[in-house]
Amino acid sequence: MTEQLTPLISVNNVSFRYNEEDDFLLKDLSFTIYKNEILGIVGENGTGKSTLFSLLNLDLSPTSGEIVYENPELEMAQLLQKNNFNFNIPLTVEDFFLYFVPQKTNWGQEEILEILQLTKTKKQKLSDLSFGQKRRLFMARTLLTSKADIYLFDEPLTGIDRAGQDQFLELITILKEKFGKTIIFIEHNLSALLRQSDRVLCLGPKVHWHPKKDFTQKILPHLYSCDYEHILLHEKL
Amino acid sequence: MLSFYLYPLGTAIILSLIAGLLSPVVVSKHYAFLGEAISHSTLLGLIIASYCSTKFQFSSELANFFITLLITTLSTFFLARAERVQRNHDFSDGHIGIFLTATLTLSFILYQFLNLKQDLFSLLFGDITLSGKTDFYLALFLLFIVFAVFILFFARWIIYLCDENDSALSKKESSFLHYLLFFLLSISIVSFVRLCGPFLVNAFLIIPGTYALKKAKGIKNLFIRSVLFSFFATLCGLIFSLYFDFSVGLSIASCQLIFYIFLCMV
Repeated sequence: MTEQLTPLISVNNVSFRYNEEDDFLLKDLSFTIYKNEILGIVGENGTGKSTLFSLLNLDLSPTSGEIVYENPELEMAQLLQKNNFNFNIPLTVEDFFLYFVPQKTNWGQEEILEILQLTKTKKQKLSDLSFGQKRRLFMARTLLTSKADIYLFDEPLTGIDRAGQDQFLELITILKEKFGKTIIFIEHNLSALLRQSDRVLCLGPKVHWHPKKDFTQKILPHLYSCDYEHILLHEKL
Repeated sequence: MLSFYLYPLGTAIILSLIAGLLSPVVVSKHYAFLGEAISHSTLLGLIIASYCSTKFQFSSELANFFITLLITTLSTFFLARAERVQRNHDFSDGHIGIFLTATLTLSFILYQFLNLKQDLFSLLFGDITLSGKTDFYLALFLLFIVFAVFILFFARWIIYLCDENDSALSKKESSFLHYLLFFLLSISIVSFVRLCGPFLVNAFLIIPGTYALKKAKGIKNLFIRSVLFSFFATLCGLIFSLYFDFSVGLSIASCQLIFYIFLCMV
């Protein structure tokens, strides 16, 4: 990958805090996002991972520093961790695709539904779907509706079973390899993160920026404030 | 006797159809409490309209309707804005409660202070028998407006109902639908008040929608169920009221409750 890196976004000395009286959530953060890469972001709760997504997506502005977009028409699609969708409305999965997904999309609807194991749920009401199925449904929608160059996924594997996780990871590989997209995803599931991403950005009291191979014993304890064996036990790296 | 009841009957049926369309929206957006607040502000409008008609000696139904509508729309606009601005703040429900108490208190103070001759019971619970030709055509016009707005923007309403901040809706569109909904609510509530008074208006706006949301199997089925529920409950209420000489508003509200309990048990 290192031979032909095309920068898409440059984050230059970005600091951010929500209010003047607050401490900085992100401080002097600098990195570049390249075309056709999968970038994993990891860090403890409250270290500014989702805030970084909002900054990249222009929902927030940096307190200082700048984010430079190489192409001003760069499009981003975001799958948020928090979902305000009202599942009490008796929409079926079919209705959902009718009203929330444009008829002409880059992808084949059936193809996405099959990859995300949603084909059999078409007649089901959204309120009857499991948490994991709902996550996958919104994932399908993000993929179907957007012609984005960059996909931002905030904890996409939360609440999804092992098979579903594998399918999602397969899907982002297709996004990268077949469609040349860039994927940035925040994930606490370290094994998935390491398996799929080209580079890992660790946000914490100190920002670490690592190629996957350097993601070693030294970094994890620092990141999660506990010893390496303890992390290994839970994550089976 | 039937001809005497023809316009009131027709008005009540038309209003029930409007309520059936709006009710699932009100319930699914969690606006039941807001609906209550709007309907109570209508009482203030009714009292001011009643005072104006005595003071300036006019008895036009239309003039009364528009004075009530003006007061209600102003209150509704205030509530709609507060709801949009403060929805993520703590105590936003508290503000609606304070607004409700304030309009209700002010209404009764004005009623006493202005020494109005209008019967308080008919003011609070409505009297559909007072409806005439004008009310009937106003209701018909309103049904046309509500129906047209629903059909024209149906797909947009669905997105607005599910998530008004969804990326499929622009902020302008979302804002437009929000204020449009509140305007439809205020104009409908002002019309319902003649039927059942400010105290029972919310039954029309809550019960059919709650039932339909519980039982509907799809989005179109939701509105069909709600309209049918509202229609039949109102029809039964009217028949009940006619034969037992009972207050129309109370009869319809009772029928709505009985229908709801029965259908939810089935």
